[in-house]
Amino acid sequence: MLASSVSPSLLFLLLLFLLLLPPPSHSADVMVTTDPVVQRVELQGAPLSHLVVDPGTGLLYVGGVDHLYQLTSDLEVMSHVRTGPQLDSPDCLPPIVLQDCPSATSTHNHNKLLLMEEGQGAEPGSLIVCGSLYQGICDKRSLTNISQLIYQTSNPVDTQYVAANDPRVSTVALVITTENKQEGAMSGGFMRLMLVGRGYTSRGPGDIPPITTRRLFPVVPPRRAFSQEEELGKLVVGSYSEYNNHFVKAIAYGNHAYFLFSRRDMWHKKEYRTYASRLCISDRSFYSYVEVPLLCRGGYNLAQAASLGNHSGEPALFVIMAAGQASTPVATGRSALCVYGMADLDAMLRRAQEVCYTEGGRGSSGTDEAYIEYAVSSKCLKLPKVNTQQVNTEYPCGGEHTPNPIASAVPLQATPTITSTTQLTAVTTAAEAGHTIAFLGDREGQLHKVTSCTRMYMYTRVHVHACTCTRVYMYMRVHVHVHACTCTRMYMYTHVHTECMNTCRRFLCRHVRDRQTVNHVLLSETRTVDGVFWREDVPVNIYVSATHSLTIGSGALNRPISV
Amino acid sequence: MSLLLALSLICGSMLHVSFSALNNHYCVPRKTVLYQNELKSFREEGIFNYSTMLMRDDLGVLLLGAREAIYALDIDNISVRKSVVYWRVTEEKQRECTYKGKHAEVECRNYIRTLHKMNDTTVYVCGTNAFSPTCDYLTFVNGQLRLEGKQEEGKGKCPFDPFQRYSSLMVGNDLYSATSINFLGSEPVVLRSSDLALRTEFKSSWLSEPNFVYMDFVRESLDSPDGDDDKVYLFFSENAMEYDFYSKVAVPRVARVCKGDMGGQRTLQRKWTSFLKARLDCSLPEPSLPPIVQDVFLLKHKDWRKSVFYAVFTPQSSLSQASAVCAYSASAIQDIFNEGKFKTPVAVETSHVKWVMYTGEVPVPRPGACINNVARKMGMNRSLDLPDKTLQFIRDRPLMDEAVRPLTGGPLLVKRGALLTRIVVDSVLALDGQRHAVMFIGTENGYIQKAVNYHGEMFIIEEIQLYENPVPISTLRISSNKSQLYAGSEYGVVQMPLSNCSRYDTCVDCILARDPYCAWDVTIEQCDSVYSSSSSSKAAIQSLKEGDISQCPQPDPVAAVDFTLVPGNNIQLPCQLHSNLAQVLWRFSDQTLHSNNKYYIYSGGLLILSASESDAGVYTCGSVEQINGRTYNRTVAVYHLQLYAGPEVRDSTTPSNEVIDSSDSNHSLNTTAPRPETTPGVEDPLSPENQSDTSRVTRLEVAVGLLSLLCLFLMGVIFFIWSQRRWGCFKLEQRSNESEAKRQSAEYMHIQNRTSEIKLLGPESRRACSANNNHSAVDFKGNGEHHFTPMANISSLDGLGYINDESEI
Repeated sequence: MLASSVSPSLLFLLLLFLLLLPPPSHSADVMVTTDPVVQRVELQGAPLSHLVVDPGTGLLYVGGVDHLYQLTSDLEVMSHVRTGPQLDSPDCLPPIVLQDCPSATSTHNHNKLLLMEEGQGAEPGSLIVCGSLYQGICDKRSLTNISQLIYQTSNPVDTQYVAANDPRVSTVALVITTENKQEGAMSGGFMRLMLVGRGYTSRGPGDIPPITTRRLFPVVPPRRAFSQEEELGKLVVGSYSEYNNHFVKAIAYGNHAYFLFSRRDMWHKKEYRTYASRLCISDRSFYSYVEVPLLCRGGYNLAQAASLGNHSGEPALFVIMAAGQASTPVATGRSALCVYGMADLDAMLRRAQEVCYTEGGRGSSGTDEAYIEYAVSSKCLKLPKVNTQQVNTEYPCGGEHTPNPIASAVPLQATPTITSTTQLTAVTTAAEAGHTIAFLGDREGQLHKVTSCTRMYMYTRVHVHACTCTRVYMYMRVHVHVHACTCTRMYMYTHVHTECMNTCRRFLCRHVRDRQTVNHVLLSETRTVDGVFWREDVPVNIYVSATHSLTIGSGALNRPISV
Repeated sequence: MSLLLALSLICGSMLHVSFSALNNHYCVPRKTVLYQNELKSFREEGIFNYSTMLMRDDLGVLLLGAREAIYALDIDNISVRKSVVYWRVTEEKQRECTYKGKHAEVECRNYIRTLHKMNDTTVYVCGTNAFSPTCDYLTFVNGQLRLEGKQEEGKGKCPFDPFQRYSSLMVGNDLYSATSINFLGSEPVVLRSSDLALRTEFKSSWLSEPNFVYMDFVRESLDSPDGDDDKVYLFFSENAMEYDFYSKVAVPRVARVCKGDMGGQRTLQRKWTSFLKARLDCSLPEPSLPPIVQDVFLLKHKDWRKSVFYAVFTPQSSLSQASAVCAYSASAIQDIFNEGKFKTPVAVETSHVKWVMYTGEVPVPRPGACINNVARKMGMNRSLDLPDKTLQFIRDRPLMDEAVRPLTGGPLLVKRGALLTRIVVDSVLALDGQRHAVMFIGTENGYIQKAVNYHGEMFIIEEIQLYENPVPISTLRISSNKSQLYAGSEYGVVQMPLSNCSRYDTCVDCILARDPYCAWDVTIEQCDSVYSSSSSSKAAIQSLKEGDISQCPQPDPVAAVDFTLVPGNNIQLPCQLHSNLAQVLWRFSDQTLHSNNKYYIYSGGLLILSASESDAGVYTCGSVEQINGRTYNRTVAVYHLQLYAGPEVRDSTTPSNEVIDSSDSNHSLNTTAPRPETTPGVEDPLSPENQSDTSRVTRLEVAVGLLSLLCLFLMGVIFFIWSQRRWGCFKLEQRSNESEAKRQSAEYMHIQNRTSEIKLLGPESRRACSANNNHSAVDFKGNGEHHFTPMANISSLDGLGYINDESEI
């Protein structure tokens, strides 16, 4: 192996050297593009916070304030629905009657959730739309025409409040399909549910657990859609105001659902931290809930955005992290991209689960490795290890007897792949010809493309970072020549990372060839990029939603992407 | 060594004298009845945890649930087993349970926890079933018990954990249960299993790690002018939310729900709309953390407003040893819930929440109220019609601001020593036509305390040892019809009559017992049950409040017993008192005898040391008993000591050294209750060598001097503390293994700088417990909140600061 010839000390020096490289800053060399290939469409309802692409039809659904759009892949408006403003108050329960609710005023409806519920057999799919009005209740709309309501939460029950009633409080969700044992015959043996993560809202009905399960299908009266039923799992919390999770993302991966959020660390130093948590999709009771703190070295503690992608051929979570202002949950401009391998994350979560099941939460050295979080009156146990195997293998998704919710006391750490002084706000990733490409949006409306060499030397995680060539190299701008300098620096150890270098060199060449294309777009108005959405099947389209009078670039960035 | 011991005894008695005044508000049972074999009892070999009972007077049986067995016992004689049915866990269940980390032979068995009457022949039964609660129907037909085998899900109806406290109640066909609904025991619920099932919200403001104790039903709809509904009351303890406290503090609570509750329409759907809770106040005479409610009994009255809940409390910290009984009237509880103010959470800092009195406008209909005339007038006939505003209010604020105060302002009984565990109460019609509530309280060491409270005077009539070994009494049931008490424990069930008047063989004893069940029947000259002597009530004497014996016929003079005196010998004159509250008074030729170098007075009699000729004469043993401030004297025994005309024995009188004399008090060992341990190195002072050994005095002069200094120091401390008059400073730690029996004649105490326990027989006043009641009431009545005096007392509570901030918004 080539790597075996590398002396560890040399590697270390290299690593150190590379780490000491100043983080790339793009304050100096921003290039405003007026590239004609960038298509734009002006939509009302800034900020356009949510965008969904139907992979089947290529249709786009965009949710903003008081407005909901259905667009073709060429950004033609097909349908437009006004969702607000309406007479409402976060203190009152719908339906709003002015005499019972003197605080009701005309209130904007911020889109909080926009999800696709895929059709199953004869059942057509639907678009799930939840707004900030009426305690965050949800509707289902037709995917072919969003102005057509399929299910409306009328006369809602308090278990049907889904999204946060406050525009500033985040809500994330995920549609999952699981086996349905009870209603098997009539539902075709499956059950569709929505896992919702929402932050704490001080007004209106409090005490909605941070993570809840909502029924989507089947809905047979007296059951109601979006209802958080008693037998459906929820993350039980001793104190709702203390466990005020700020959710960033909900992701399905493998047999698990993941939530990414930040909150005050109630167990330890009361500082804000980012956490990733996991649930078995089949687990209806949340017995399998585990969470682990995510550390992004350099004091980047608040997750801003996340995307599941591939890093060096392995599934990884790309997380934009920002440094919090002092001990507050307010993000500063100092931000970074940290990449966490899903395998590492899973191993960490499994370890915490195991330690809490069989070791009373203590590691071999006697230190606390796992504990019960959320002020729940339970504690880690010492369950018998049956047949010398870990209990975890018998109860991978926990059981009624296993303690929960478990939290790992040991964080999963990563070194920033990129850092920025302009607040990064959005991320999406794609794998292309064995390379991972990540697009980052920032507060100033810029889009950054980050590419990584795939076949890097993956002996350890250190090598990932040792190949910081990736970091520098991949952080490409229009001024490729600038980066060529960086590449010369890498040239110093070409003989070590031959293969990597080869890849990188090929890569570089291609980019040099594409010199004229735009890799770095400054959107017309310099506003925060709220989301970057990657259409996976067709790597030609990348949609960017920005705070103000959204610009959606489509087809414009295809050339730089298709390396 | 005996010298040292003697000195320490003197010091000890000084301490004790000063403490006895402090202590005597803790009741001492007047009579102690030790374990008797003839008590009717039941147990089956290999079966344990006889913890669930259902009395079926109609069937003449007591249904008894134990571990994996249900018995039908003859209600008149529980040692007669009429039928039994076993309900064992399957092997598979047991294995599954052990996989889940539970002990196969302990937790993975089926403990019968629920027995409720469904109809004339059917009983609803639930068991823990190896941590997988299951319910079934049990029939009793033709004298045979039979399980129907319709295994129903028991989650929420019966706990998973066989040892977790819980409570349930059957009202009509609705089962109300308060327990944990999950395996881990972390999700508490108050559930009504019926056609319209209702439950509590799962949030800490509703229930925070509760320990459910008791539930009962009050038919408040009867003649209700407001058109109110029937209620189910629940007693429990839980983590307090109203105190600012560094660590978790438990508080006793009463909660209630309305029988007609159907939940809300949009808010609180399928949840209680009438769940309200309030703190129970039961202030002990010493500052402490709130005591924990252990058991409750509802003494029902035809008029529900006069029904009274009797609750047993034990301390929550081991610093305190005093258990108490407080009583709460149903109407007082209702007043708090129907008219009291609410508490509301207020965010103090970013995340900290404080509960304070709610001073804003309370919505109408009143949150948490049952559907009553007010609501009906507004067109709301079901809880489903209640407006969201009312429901939201109660969902977020189930706690009342005010605590429920005890009926009499303070505890009905305060008792030190073995903790009280369970209570039942009987209402007894006394001869004077008044009703008295007689409390039967089980203890953790297998005793029953039979107690009454006569106008604020706490009085324990007797304590009865039901179990030979000190086991906690886990279930108590009473049958007033049969005048029987049934006490269950881990090892069996014991049946006991509510009274046994024949224990009192004289009129004086019968009257001074002040047992409402008993009266002295003049015609047959026996202490007899008030019920049986009712026909000739004019010929029966009873004086409960006063203990007035003036109506008793003059007792026959006690016949003198002849004793022979052999000079030089020690002579023992037995004299057993009838009451733990009495003091002995020995007289010899009109002189009162005291323990000294010649006489040694102990609870079993008098010892005359090295009797001489001059000791011949008449000795009388009298008993002096203080009841309700009055003193009763009577002669118990008379001895006539006559000189034996045998060979003279050399006089071996001891030197008149007081120190050595008082070492004799070491003999004050109660022969019926030996000391649990003897101090090493203490020689038997009865041996003559010890008595005559004078040389040791000089050798131990130094030690005596030192001890005297210590003694002076102790006296100084006593004086200081006494002058401070603070109860909290004195926690006399008592040995946990101390049994009631050993305390019948004197109290143990643990002298601070010594390790040995020393039993003292001093001239202490043995009043029942009334003496200092007023004193304690002055200090602690009124606000009912315990406020610590700063510094010293707080540190005595392990650094727990305790602030009950009642500030308003």
